[in-house]
Formats: sequence, C-alpha cells, structure tokens
Amino acid sequence: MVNTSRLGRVQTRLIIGAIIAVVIGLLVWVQPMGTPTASSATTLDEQTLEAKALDWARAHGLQGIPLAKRAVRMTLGQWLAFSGGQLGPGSTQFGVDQNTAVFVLAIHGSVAWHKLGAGLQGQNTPEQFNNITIVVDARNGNLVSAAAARNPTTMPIQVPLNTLTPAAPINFAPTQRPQTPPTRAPTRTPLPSVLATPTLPALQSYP
Amino acid sequence: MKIPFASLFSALIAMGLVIISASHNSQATLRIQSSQRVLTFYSPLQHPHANAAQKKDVGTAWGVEGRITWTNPDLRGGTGSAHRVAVVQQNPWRYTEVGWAKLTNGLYTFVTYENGTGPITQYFSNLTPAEHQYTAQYDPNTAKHWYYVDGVSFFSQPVNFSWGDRVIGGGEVIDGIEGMGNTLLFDLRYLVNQGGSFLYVPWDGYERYVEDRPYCNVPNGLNSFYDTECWVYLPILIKGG
Repeated sequence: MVNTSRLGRVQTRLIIGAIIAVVIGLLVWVQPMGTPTASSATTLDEQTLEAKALDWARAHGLQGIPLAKRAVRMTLGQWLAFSGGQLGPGSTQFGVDQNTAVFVLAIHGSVAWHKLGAGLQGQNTPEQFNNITIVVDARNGNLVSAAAARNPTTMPIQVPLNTLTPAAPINFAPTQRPQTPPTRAPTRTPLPSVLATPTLPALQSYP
Repeated sequence: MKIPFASLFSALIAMGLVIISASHNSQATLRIQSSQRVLTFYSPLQHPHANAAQKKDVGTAWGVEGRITWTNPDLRGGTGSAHRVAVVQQNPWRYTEVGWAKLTNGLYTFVTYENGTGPITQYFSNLTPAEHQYTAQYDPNTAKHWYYVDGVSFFSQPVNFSWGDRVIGGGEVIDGIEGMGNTLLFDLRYLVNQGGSFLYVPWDGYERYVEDRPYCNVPNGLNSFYDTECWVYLPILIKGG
C-alpha cells in the first residue's frame, strides 16, 4: 500500500517534470518565431534570385553569357561592410536593416557599364569591365547594389574562373559599431518657392 | 512646273536631316501635318545612357543638396530614369550622387559613387513617391560621405575623397529612350566651410554640363531647373504650286 502510494507520487512528479520540460521546450522554440528579424524572413529560392540578379546584371551592361559566376547569401550589413558602408537610422523607411538577407551574384563576363553614374571623365562610350557584382534583396529580388571593378582582384566575392579552381574563402569585414550620423549642416533661410512660376515650354510627346 | 527656290532649299535640308538622323537612330520620325502645310521634324537621337545636367564650378564643395520632385516618368520600354545631385572632384576623378531612380520594378532612392576602383551604386527601394530633399555631405570626423533624405541619414560610405570642385544636378536615363518627366530640381545648395563652420549656400547660377539631345534642362531661376526633353523643331513652309 505504501509502495503503491510512493509509486503514484513518483509518477505524478515524472508527469509534472515532463510537462514542464515540454513547456520550456515550446518556449525556446516559439521565442525566435515571435520576434522575426529581416534575415529570418522568407526568402526566394536560389534559382529565382539568380535569374533576377542576372536580369539586373544585363540591365547594367552584362553582354552575352557569363564566363563564370558565384552566388553567396549574406546579410546587407555584411555586404556593405566590404566597402566600409553602413546603414543609417533613416534606412528603416526603405524596409531594410543590417540583418536583411541579400543574395550576391558575382560574375565574370563582358560588361559595358551603362547604368547610373557618370563614367570616367571625358569618356563618351560605356566603360568596359570584365566583371560585375549584383546584390538583390533575398526576400523579393529588389535591386540592392551594382558594382564593377577595374581590377577584378578587388571584387569582394572572388569568382573561380573554372571548375578546377577552388572558390576562395570570403573574408567578411568585422562588424562595425553603428555610428551616429553627423548633424546635417544648417541651411540659410529657405529660398522662396520657385514652384509657382514654372517656365516649362509645351512639349511634344513621342508618337 | 516652276518650283520655288525656297521650297527646294527647305526640302533638301529636311532630307539631309532625315538621313543624318536615320544613321543615328532607326526611330527617327518625319511627320508632315499636311492640313497646316507645315513640315515638323524632330530627332530623338538614341544614346545608351543619356544625360541632361547642369554644373557649377565652385572652389570647394563639401557636399551638395537639392529638392527633387517626383514625376513618374514614362520609361517607354527602357530600364530607368534618374534625377540627382552630385559633388565631383575632377582630379583625380571622384564623385558621389544621390537622388531617385524609377526602374522597371519601382521607385528607388540611390547613391552612386566612384572611389577609383569602379562604379558602385546602392539602391534603396520603398521610397515614397513624393518631392524629397536629397543630401550628400562629407564628414571629416568619420572620413565618410553621409547621405540624407529629408534631413534623415540613411547611409554612409567612404568614397575616397573629401571635397569636390564641382557640383552637378540633372537627369539621367539608362537606354536613351526613357522620359525625364519634367522633373524639377530646386533649392540647389552646396556645402562650404566658412571659418570652421559648415554652411549650405545656394548655387546662385549654373551652366550647361551635358545635354544629350533630345534631353535638356529648362532653367527656372538661379537655383532651379527642369530635367526634360526638348525636341528639335524645324518648321518648313511648303508653298503651294
């Protein structure tokens, strides 16, 4: 009788312990889901991201088929750190932060750069490169960055030129502490608005 | 039949322009408004990547800013129309730009720069389609350029130069067929260092930097101009026989 009672108590304690363990386990499992970060948000699959990145590369001047390419996933903070860039507090209005997942496609191939930005001084034709690196937001494929390097050895993501060459390890820059933006310099009293008197001539449109 | 000399001369000029234009661009158009008996000719020369920009050469500019309207330009099958302000160091060649760009999948604010290694552009989607103030300024304490939309910093980047000797503003299209949307750049200023204090001062004038026709700028005061398209018109009267 006594033994049966002790056995019952032991069983009860075991059941309570199991319940507590399950609850703790659930809490540990649910906690990260309850506070999602940008990097944990759903991202597009590799194939879709690569297709979008290639489209952007062509829009920036990639000609023909890439000779070689290498795709890497990382965070936006890691990508920007390669060149010493950092997001400021105002970047939240653009829906990104340091943890935003990005997809980087580094490409070797013929590039006639004709995207935004002034070319070299005095150069009237698109500058030629043998590489281009495109970064897209891994959540939606939106364009994040486009870069071409005059010296391909300075590309942050090195692309092996053939299958026999092993891919070089990626040297991520150390995480930087966020810097406080300098105060924007004061301006004088605003000029009177010029919007009231536009002098735009009547324009013809394309047929 | 007697053909008036003026008509013959005009016709020859028109034919010459058509040939010149056609050699540049298969989309060159000759339009005859027969009812008004007026021949109108325009030549949208296609450039891969065309500009309409004004400049001001300054002693030292530590930054640049301007307000730019949102005009939702028609891309006409092209890939992008952008409007921005820039500060440039001519020797060695360095620059940085900030503004907005309408690309095929939406509106971005962008920062582009040349630090000597090659062109780099950072894009930020979800920009609100409205007039904004865009600022790029160098900060000697951090040795970086800092970028602002409506006075709020969203990005910073070392660009390998501090001050420039030229400021630029204007529109830029990717494929040479996109519209510029009559976008107004106004309240243009650049950053000077006056006795240790940084101060934005108005441009107070500018001059032509580059206008790849048909893209051009239309002045709107000393600190303002439009990015737009200016067709080449050649009205020719055709006299009846």
